[in-house]
Order: sequence, then structure tokens, then C-alpha cells
Amino acid sequence: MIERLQKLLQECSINDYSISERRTVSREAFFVRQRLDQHRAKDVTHTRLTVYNDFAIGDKRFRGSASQEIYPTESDAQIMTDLRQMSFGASFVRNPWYPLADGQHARLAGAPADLTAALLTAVQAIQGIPDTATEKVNSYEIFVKQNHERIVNSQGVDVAFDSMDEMIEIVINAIADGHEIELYHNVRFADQPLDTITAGIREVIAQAKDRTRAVPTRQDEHANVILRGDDIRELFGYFMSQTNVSSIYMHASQAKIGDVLQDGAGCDRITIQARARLDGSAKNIPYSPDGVPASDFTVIQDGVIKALWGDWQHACYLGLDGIAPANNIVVSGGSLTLDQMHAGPYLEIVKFSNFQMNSITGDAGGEIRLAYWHDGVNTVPVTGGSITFNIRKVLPSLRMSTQTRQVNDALVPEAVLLSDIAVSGK
Amino acid sequence: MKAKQSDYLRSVKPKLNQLLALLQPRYEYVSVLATDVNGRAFSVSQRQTAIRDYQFGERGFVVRVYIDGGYSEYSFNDIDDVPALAAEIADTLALQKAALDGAGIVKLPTPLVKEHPDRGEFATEVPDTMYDIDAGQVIAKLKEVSDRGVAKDGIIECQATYTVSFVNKMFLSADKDLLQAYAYGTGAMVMLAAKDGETRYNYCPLSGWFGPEMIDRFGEAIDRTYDDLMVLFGAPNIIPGEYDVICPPEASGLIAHEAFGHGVEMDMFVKDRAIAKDHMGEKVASDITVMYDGPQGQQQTASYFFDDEGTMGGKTMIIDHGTLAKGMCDALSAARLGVEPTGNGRRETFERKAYTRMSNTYFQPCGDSLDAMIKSIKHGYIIDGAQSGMEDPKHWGIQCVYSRAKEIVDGRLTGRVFTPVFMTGYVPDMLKSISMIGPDIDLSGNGYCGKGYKEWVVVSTGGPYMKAKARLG
Repeated sequence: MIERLQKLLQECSINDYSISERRTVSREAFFVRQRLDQHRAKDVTHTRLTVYNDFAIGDKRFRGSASQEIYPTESDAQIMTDLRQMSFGASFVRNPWYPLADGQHARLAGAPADLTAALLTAVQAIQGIPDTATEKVNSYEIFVKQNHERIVNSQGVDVAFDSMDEMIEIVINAIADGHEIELYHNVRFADQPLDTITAGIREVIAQAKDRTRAVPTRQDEHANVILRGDDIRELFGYFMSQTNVSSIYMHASQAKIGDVLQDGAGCDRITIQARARLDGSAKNIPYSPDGVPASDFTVIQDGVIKALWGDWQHACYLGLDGIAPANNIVVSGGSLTLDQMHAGPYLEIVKFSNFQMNSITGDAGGEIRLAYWHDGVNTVPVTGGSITFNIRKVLPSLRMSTQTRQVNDALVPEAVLLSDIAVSGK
Repeated sequence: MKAKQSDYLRSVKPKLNQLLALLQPRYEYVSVLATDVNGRAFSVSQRQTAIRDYQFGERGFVVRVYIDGGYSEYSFNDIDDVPALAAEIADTLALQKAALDGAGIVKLPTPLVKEHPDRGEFATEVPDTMYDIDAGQVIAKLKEVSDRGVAKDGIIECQATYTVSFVNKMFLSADKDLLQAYAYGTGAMVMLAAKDGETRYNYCPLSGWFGPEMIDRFGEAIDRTYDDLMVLFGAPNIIPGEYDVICPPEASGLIAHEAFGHGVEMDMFVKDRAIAKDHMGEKVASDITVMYDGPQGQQQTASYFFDDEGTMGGKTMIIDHGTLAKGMCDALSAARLGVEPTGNGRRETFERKAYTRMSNTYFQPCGDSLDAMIKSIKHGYIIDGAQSGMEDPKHWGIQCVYSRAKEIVDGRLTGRVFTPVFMTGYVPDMLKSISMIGPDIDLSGNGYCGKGYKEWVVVSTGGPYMKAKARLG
């Protein structure tokens, strides 16, 4: 498709363009309990084209653009109509001029993976999880995908690469005294041993058992809250959104290099590094959609913003060179061990219904699906109620565990301690 | 005018019929869904303008087959050499089936769905302006909205968007030959303000069967959107507790969606994931509560004629004056449960599995005025600015997130505002506490609904103003 598009672009006298093409082949299986509901397969190719239209008004230079997917089933005549409409539309888009990325050439394509075999391996791993008298696998879905991508632009970028992307979504039931509950677990990964995945599921099974004996969460307007689990990734996602060049250019973030997010001694200062590659991540993508290579760099060091990241266009607008994507992140561990975090009274939340981290305002919170309340002596599982806080307000006292754990594309502290949090409950 | 049927779908139909003919001898059932969904999205802010295609655009196909007591599917988006494609589909699914059978994987018993014979072409009535978009004019209108927004004191950015979407689908099987076209417009105005290191935003969503003329309605909403935004600065968190609350249409729609929308998606009954399965016919809400879901009956973004399994859509009364009356169901779940499908089998795109999904979900209006609701409250809040929601159908739990709560004391608004607001609770308790319902219904179709954390589909939700009791935090 790319070569066909390039020929048609030339015929339409469109000189500046970028094209990204992704072919995805997948194998999928869906289960109710341990019985096969249905299985699926797909082989699809998506080609996204952006055309640019340069013009000037007075002494101001503009680069308009329009983008859309071009379908493999479109005829040449239909594509030509699309191209003319896109180029015409781009003439109304008065965005400041910027150069396209240039000069990258690479072919990192690997051999096609045996996706059916990979699917079967994953199915057998989940089938190997035994039911107990009180806990069972309710249902699960497995997706095994291989992506083949190529990015081309009119300034000579031409890179191609492959990536794997696997996902398991599983629901666990537990029952006690005739009352059945469920816990949801979703794990995305690539090239990771399945015993790591099943170990995570067994952890959820243990949590489900605890939820059957959970009592309502007690209201507390000034609680010490320990966050655990996958939602910690969302918490640190706030800082990635705030340091993204698009957010900054569009005023959704006021951040700039050198900003001090935390000072004083009463907290663990945040350090976040972007990594081009993280073993086991489904986001080991070597190039950005602009064709810029991924690299390792420090975004935040000891609470101070050291670098911004993101897309090429907005980096140019902000006058930044050497911008790169941040597909994977590593958040350094803090100063407290898990045992030290557990020293005083706390509410340790391991599962939210849906943790929300607003990337603009910093507001965060969610309904508690399972937590452990420790009064200094006893620990009881609790459920219901919610917490609400603003990330900026808790930064001066934020503490992180020394231990870290990986959640797909992020290596993050295993636990985060927040002080003086309002807990809604009974 | 009638929404235009896709020329592409008409042109590819002979190839799809050839594909069905090649596959039918191999299987007990074969169907194909073909999609051609497109549109244009315009976005203008002070710093950037963008034109692109509709975010949920797609053109592709999914074949569903039944063999040896089980269903399987193959999704693709190129259809050049039909015999080669038929062989590829059959070989791929056979290899996968052999691998799963060989490993001793047990199938969930699924009867062969007996399809109701349906044939026909269907199209909604839409304004001509949807098909006559002048990019320059649309951008100029949006720019005017953005300029008026940032002219307000303290506003650092105002983004205005308009998207026109054209949905065309064809479903073919031995018993069905269906073609549909529908279209809708969506838009939003987002205002952003920053003060003393704090950044806040507010938005005004619009949706319906409208062309770019809907952009004019942002002009009427600028002052209200601005006022609701600026009061958020310095606004404290709410003191956690149970309160009387008044839910405007957008907020009550989110409750409808999360409470007994997800709770009666009957594929969850098959999995024993919804407690509602054991409470059909029981009282779950107050006597004045009536709730519906359906692709028919409302002119919104989830109004269609047939679903992604070729089942004709209707309107399902879920709660009948407080009693849990009926659920929504996709075709395969209906076959397993021995009930009729309701036309709620929907896919994120042709690439994804069909699940039971909501369409337009809403409470029925009643006769109470907003003024009377406010006057009836000793200490409570009007909650507004729906942001997100999550359900727990197994436990009848609910989480709804709103941007603000306006305080009411002794029957009057105090002017104090709290942000953000997390509303949680036990669904029957909340719905049984609905004591007053307003006379006017309004639906919003700007949202997307996920199944768990994926499978996003366009839905609309709404209702009238409602008074209830809820736990806020």
C-alpha cells in the first residue's frame, strides 16, 4: 500500500506526507469458566496518511495538515479523491510551520511468530489454575498479537519493525456463606514467562478470598493510605502527562524543565526514567509515529523535571531538539521497605473499582473494591467507600517502597504511602 | 434527507456472497458483517487546528461460523482474491480449532442460533448539512467559539470540536440480507484555566442527529461553562458522607448506565457475573423509577436498526416502576439462556468480538420540578460534570465520578462548590432512594462505554433531573 500511496501522492502533486502502516495478526480465545466460548483470528492492515500543505499569510509561514486512514479496499480513484479533499482541508489549518523528522532508515523486522502455539500455551497455563472449594476462575479472554509496522515520510524516514503484544483478562470468583464476589484482573505483556503471569493471577485469587470476609470501609478523614497494585502505574502516569510536549503546548500542563515538584525532607523524591526497552513490556516500540528513535533518558530526577518527551510537532513548537518517545518508564523505589510502611495504622488499598487519575488537574481517587485496614494491632479486609486526593497536594509527604514491580510498560514502586487522605465509608 | 447507504458496501456485496457460498458447505452456519464507518473531525483551539477522520472509522469484515457445537470468527479488511480468502479463513480457524481440541479444551455448549429471517435497507432521517461540509466554514465557526472562550477572564485555552460520523453496515447470512445507514454529529467545547499553579477545565458536550449548525449552540453555553469552571479554583473536597443529591440529566444518565445498564447485560448472566440474574421480577428501585435501553426510540448516537449480529433493534424496558423487568441480550447469549435477543450485540469494530452492550440508556421523565427538588433538601448537593463510571454487577456496586457538587442548605443553593466528587454505593439502595423525577429528558451521546477496560462502543445516556440519596466522597 505504501508504494501505491506514494505514487498517487506524486500524481496529486502532494510533496509532504507521512504514512504509518500496521499489519496486525492475532489469535484469540474466550472462556466461560474453563470452557471455550469461542475462538477468533484476524489479519488486518491499517494505513494512516497525513498530508501537509504549506502556505504563508503575510510574513507568517504555516504548515496545515489533514490525516485519515486509507483502506486497502479503496480504488485508486477513491484514494485520489481522498488526497484532494485532505490537501484542500489542510489549506484551512493554520498551524505554525515545522520541519518533518528526517534521516531514519531501519529494517528491524523479525520472523512471523507461531501465534496459534502461543495462544495454546497461554490457554494451557490458565487451564492449569485449579478451582478450590471457595475460589474459581469465572471467565477469561486471551489475545496474542504480532504487529508489523512501517513508518515512511517525504523527508526520507523509512523504518520497519515488529512487536508482540499479549493480553489476558480474567475474572476470579470467591464464595463464603453463600455470598459470592468477583475480582477483575487484566495483564498485558510480551515475551514473558507465563508462570509470572499465573503467579499474579494466584495473588488475585488470594485477594478474592479475602474480599468474601471484607467488612465495610470505615470513614476516616485523615488516614494513612498505602496504594498497591497496578493502579500505581496510573498514579505516575500523571507526571508523564505533565511532561508531555503536547500537553504543555496545549496549556494542559504548565510544567517546564527545572521545575521542582518536591522539596523538603519529608518525602521520597520522584525519579522517572524513560526506557526504549523494558523486558516483558508490550510497548517495546523502537520508533515514535514520527519515525524518531526511542531512547533512554531521565524525565524527572529527585523531584526536578529534567526532560520533556513526546511527539515531533509539539517539540518543534517548543523549540526542543532531541525529543524522543517514552514508551516504557522506570520509577525508582523510595526509602521505606514494605515492613516499615506497615508499622503504624493504615488503609492498604489493593483493588479499586476503577482508579481515576486526572492528568490535567491532578485529582485522583476511586471506589475501594478491596483494602486492608490495620489499626495498629489487627488487620481486617474492607470493601466499599472511596478515597479522594490531589496528587500535587500529597507530593510533599509522598513515600515509596524500596521494592519495585513491573506493570507491563512501567517498573514502579510496589507501594506508595499517602498521608492525611479523606476516606469515605460507613 | 435519508442517510446515504455506502456505495462501497453495495459494490462489495457480490464478493461477500461469493465468500459465503464458498464457506457454507464447510459449516453449519456462516454470516458476514461488513462495515464502512467514516466521517470527519475538526478541532480548533488558540494554538492548534486539526482535521482528521472519525476516530471510530473502520472498513472491514468479520465472518462468523458454527461447527461441531461452537462458534468462531475471522476478521479481515482486504477482499481481493475471494477463493484464496475463503481458504485462508477456513484453514486458519481449522488449525486453531485442531490445536484447542487436541489439547482437550472443553467447549461451552452453544446451540446453533435460529436466525429470524430479515431483509431490507434502513436509513435514518438526517439534515442535508451533514453531507455538505465546508471545511473552511466549520473551522471558522469553531475558531469563533474558541476566540469567544479565551476572551473570558482567566481562560488560557478554549478548544472547540465538531465530528460528523457516517455509519454504514451490511449483514449477510442464509436468512438475513440487511443494509443500514445512520449518521450523527458530536462536539465539545473545553475551557481551560490556570491560577496559582492549579489547572482546571470544564466542558460542554453536544450530540445528536445534527450537522455543523450544532456548533452555534456552543455560543449559548459559553457563560455557563465558564461560570462552572471558575468556581472550581480553591474548591475543597467534599466531607465524605451520605447526602440528598440532585442529578441533572447527564449525571442521572451515568447512574442509569452504570447501575442497571451493565447489570443486565445478559452475557454476564451466562458467566454468572451479574447478581441481577437472580432478582428478575423483584423490586430494585422506587415506584416512580422507569428505565429503558434501546437503539430505537431516541435520536442519539447509539440509534441503529440492526446490531452487529444482524438482530433487529428495539427498546427494552429494564425497570418497570421499580421492578427489574428485562435484560439486554446478544444473539449467542440469548441462545444459551433460551431467551430472545434484544438487538444489543455490538462490536467495538469488525475486528472485535460481539458482546451484549448498551445503546441509548435512560430514565423515563416524571413531573417534579427542579425548584421543588432543591426546596425539599435540608443539606445536600447538585452533582454535575459526569466524568467516568464503573460497575460491579456481581455485587451491585457503583462508582460515578463527577467534577463538582453544588451545596444546598435549607432548600437553597449556598454558592459553595466541592470538587471532585466520587459517588459510590449499593445500586438497589440508591435506586430505591429516588424520590423525585423531573419532567424533561435529555440524552448525551458523547461518551464511550467499555466492557471492563476495553471494547469501546458509542453509547448515549440520560434522563431527567432526579433526586436520590448517595454516598459522596
